[in-house]
Amino acid sequence: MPAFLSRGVFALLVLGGAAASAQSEPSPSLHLGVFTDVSAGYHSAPDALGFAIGAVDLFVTGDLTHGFQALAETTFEADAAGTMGLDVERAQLRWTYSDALSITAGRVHQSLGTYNTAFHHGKYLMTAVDRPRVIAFEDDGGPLPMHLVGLSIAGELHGESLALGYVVEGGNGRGPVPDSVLNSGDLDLSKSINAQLYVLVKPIDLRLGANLLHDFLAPVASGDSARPGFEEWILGGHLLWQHRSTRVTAEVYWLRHLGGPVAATTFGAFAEAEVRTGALTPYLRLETLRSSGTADPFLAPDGPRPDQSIVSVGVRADVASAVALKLQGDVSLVGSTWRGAVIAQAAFSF
Amino acid sequence: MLLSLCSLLAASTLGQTGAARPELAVVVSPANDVKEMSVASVSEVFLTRRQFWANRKPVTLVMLDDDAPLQAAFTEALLHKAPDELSRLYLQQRYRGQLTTKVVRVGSFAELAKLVAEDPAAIGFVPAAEVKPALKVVLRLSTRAP
Repeated sequence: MPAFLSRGVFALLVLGGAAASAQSEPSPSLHLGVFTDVSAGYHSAPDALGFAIGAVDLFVTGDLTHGFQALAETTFEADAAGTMGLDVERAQLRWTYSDALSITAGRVHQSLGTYNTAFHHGKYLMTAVDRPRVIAFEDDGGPLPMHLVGLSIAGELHGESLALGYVVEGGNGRGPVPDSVLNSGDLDLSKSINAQLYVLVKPIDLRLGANLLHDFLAPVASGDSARPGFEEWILGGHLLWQHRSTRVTAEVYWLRHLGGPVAATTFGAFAEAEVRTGALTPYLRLETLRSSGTADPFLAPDGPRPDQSIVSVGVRADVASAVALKLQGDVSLVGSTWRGAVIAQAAFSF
Repeated sequence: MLLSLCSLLAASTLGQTGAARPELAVVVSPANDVKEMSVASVSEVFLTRRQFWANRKPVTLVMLDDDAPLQAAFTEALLHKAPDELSRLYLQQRYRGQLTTKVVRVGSFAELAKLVAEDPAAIGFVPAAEVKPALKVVLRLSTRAP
């Protein structure tokens, strides 16, 4: 089937119902996009040099009528063994009343800080070659619940020089293991509740905010992932300064698992600074990820993970419309072992 | 960089308007309730930080293509961003699922003026010398050094 015809058929299937009942509204429209990347990298531990294709991210949004918008993001991604898998990363319906109120239902990226909702699976839009470790996606070993299946209510109240933003989210909690996002029902009655507040200081282009998430993880009685039930608390803070061509982002998280014999804390933070000069954007990122207290039966059932600190320096070159070349060097201290990596990446969208 | 921008502006606008230092006018439809806007509020609209007018109509941005010299002059002078940075911002907002603003690209100021004049929710910019009676000017902007 020709591409234009298949797009048209899809648009009719998705949007036809809304169009029929919206005579006075603008026509629904469909936007398609693909994000992907190719990388070459050297890693010192284990000593390896190789190429990799990133996630092939198929991204569709539909501007419906009466303030509704739909979004679906599906990725094809290789696992460590090179086998390609299919993931529905986001599937959401958003209704926007005004700048002060929008309601989103579906599978969304949770509002923890700013990075997770600003940069998704396509690497073209992010400056560095990958996400900071503390906000890595669940299936990449990240400790935080970056996806939520549920409901999100958000908005910004604008004044002359200040704006106050809020997000309240509720939905299914964590699955039996960290990388399982509960897409079709929860394991218990308790829901994950996350609230974020931030202030925008307009004259200096500064955003400061914090969030608090609470959930109860039901016990898993049997199988490889058997563990006790416990509470999850996530306290986060963030700073975003975007002034002209300079951008500074900093986020910090305390994740606490509490209940019975469990009292485990994971602390993670990162700061990233970039300055765009022409087509080049040099950047610096500092990260740390640490744990303390008892062993965390959820994040590290096989024993405590070593603390890690990473320094990354890189440059991004926007060489053509929607094509970016990146070169990044990492030095990390994992436990007591120093590691290094150099990664070149071509990230693009079409 | 500033010098080269000014040279580019001068070269590009001499032919279009006869003025060596182009002044740009941010325009809306006369049917839009807004009477005037500050630099800060126009910036918020073009950066999609504000996506609704006071009457709750979603904003429509009408702009030239990225490679038009005056598009660069506008984005540099008002938003301190290169045109491709702005396009990336819109792509990012769409990718976030948070782009309520409608972004329309056109190839000429005549086309831009027609679309803005006909749409009460639209906003765009034209050289001040080319403002037509069918448009309402809400801000005048020098493209010289800020």
